[in-house]
Amino acid sequence: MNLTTIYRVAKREFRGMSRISLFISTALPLILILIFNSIYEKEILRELPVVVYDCDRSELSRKLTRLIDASPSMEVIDSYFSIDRIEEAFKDGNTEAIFFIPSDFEHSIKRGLQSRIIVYKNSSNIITSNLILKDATTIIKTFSAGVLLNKFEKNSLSEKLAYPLVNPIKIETSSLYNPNYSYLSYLPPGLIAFTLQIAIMLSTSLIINSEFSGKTFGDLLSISHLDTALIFIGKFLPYFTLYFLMSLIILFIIFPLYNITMNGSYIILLLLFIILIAINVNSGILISSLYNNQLFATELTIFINTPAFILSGFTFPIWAMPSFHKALAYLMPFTYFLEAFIKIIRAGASIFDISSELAALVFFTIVTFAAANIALSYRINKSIR
Amino acid sequence: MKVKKIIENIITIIATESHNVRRDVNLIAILVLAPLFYSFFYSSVYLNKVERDVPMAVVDLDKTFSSRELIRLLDANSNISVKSELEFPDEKLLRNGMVQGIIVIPKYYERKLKRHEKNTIKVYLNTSRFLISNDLNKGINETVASINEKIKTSLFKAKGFTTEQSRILSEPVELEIRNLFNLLDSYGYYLIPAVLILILHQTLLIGISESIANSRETNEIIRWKRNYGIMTTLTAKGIYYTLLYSVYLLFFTIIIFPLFGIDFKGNYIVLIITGFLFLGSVVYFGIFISSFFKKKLYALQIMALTSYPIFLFSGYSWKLDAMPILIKSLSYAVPFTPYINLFTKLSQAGAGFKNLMPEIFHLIILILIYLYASYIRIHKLNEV
Repeated sequence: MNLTTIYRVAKREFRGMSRISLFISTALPLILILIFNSIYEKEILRELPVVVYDCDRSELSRKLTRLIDASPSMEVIDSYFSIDRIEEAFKDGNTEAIFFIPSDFEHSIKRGLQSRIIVYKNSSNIITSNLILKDATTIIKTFSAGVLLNKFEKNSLSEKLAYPLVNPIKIETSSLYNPNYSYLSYLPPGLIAFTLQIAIMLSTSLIINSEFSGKTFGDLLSISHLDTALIFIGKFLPYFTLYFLMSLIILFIIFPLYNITMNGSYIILLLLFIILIAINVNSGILISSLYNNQLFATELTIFINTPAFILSGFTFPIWAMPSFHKALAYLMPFTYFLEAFIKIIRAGASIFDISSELAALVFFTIVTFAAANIALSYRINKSIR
Repeated sequence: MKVKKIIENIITIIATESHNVRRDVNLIAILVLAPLFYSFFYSSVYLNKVERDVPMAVVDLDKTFSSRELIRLLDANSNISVKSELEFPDEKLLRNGMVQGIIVIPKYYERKLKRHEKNTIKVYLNTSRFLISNDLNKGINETVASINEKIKTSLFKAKGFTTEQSRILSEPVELEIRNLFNLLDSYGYYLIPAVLILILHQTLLIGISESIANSRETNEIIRWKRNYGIMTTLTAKGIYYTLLYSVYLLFFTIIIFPLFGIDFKGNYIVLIITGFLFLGSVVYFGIFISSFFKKKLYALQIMALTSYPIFLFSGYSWKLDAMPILIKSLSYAVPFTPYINLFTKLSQAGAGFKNLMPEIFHLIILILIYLYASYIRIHKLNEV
């Protein structure tokens, strides 16, 4: 009897979806997810335009220019540059950095004097700026070490003996979890999860109040025999199923399609997605039960959800945020979800590694479930009165 | 006489639009409260601008004065905070996020240093978040480079050179990095201006979309054509929203920028004129897009989902040239793309009209295309 009622409520919910609502809740998020992946499909930034202002025009300066050009991140677009154009080049936005080689570069090195390479870099974009800093440092350090090594070798020191003198402590770095520094493996997974969350909330924040705007709430009450639990489950299940299927599409079609590496267990990941979907459907039912105005409910959903990605600590760490934002970040279920999600897909975390995030998410599931039921029950009672 | 009538009509439409906005709580929330609230809220997330003290662990297999000195220097680096000393490189700590890196100082570290033998320290980095791993890596490299420098200098000093001579001999080619525009390489300085422009773009787009969808819901669109003509209405709406949002543009650059320590190096006349072009193109872009929606609810839902993609494919964080042609074309069709490029050059490098010509032409083309497209769309809607 109860199952039949739930089935009727759920069927009614599916049938009530307009074509545009279905497009907004399912097709549009998938299109956006494909866009996110396509943006980063090249994975790593290469050949950023740089200029070499070579005042020396010597053999050594040309050698250095070739080294800069050979670096994967940079492409020398001009090597005989005029000093008057430095400022203009940045204003025009044609270059990301200018390498200044002084006129006495080769002469100084050959005489055993120090020479200085100045790199002017456009640091308004921190991503390209960091890349140039890293590669420019490596190139100049390598070049300098080469000069020193040459000097030692001229003093009859073998390369084996000279090398530790040039570079006394060597750093060997193992980059774990995203060894190629691929942007495709870094950003899209977080953005995909965020898109899924906002799509769930946008569609579910209208599932109760739409009954009022369509004047069908009475019909819903009569089908469900005024039972809050039956209405809740009947409304919850279609969206839960829909977004669970979407999660499967994301994990088993979109991730492999774009070669997004997945290092953890799919079972743990699916469990995590189930919890995320449940929290968001609960929250949607809560908002739509509290506010009859659909436009306001949608604006509230957008207002709550938009900062979730930024506050999650995914791009900028939570510990570096002011206390107020830190507190807000910890009040958002998405923060815990994303933390656990990234740990699983990148670091292959086990269920024990994400136990604290899981505990927080279960807590949010219970709280939102209780709150949504209370709000729905209040709405039903008010409607009956 | 005809011109006078057009001007009167434009003033009437502007007054009506202003009245409609003031009466509609949803529009007030989107067009007035959202830009003000979000500008403070998002900018203050990055109040500290740079992250400091990234947690890391150390495995000291040498336990000598030199290894302890290395640990002390690492901890003293502003990017690093040495949280714990481990017996072995326990990856579990990296996996569960307790630390972001582990550095292993090998046995015989000090002895090898003294004997000038090959000496390698191993670093394990969690690179699942780029900003954190970049900063940690930078801190480790800076610390080790300074120790290397000291060792090399002392080597030459031992051979009888002065301190200055030794310093020069140990580093034949020195690198000097001069940051232009974002002196501290700060994430906040990088992101805040773009976020503010995105707030303008998105709230205006959503506001316009709601307003136009509302006009469709109430059949106001039919009254426009009958009373004022489509072009006059479009012009009036363009003027109203452009003027309204110009105030925010000035507010952001004059109040929010200094409040959060961001420089504005541009000329305000250039800002206003290019701002008009940007806001005008957003208005007509919004009118065109929203003319496809019969309900303002749908317009709101769809526009709300576009904020992140519009930012990400604008080329601000990831170079446009690295994107597929389809995404690039989509990006060029959105006013945010040329304007964020223009605004960065204007506010950070103090660029003038001459330097901004490609973006200015881009915005003018977008205005013309979307104005024409809006005209056609509304004309067709009337026919229906």
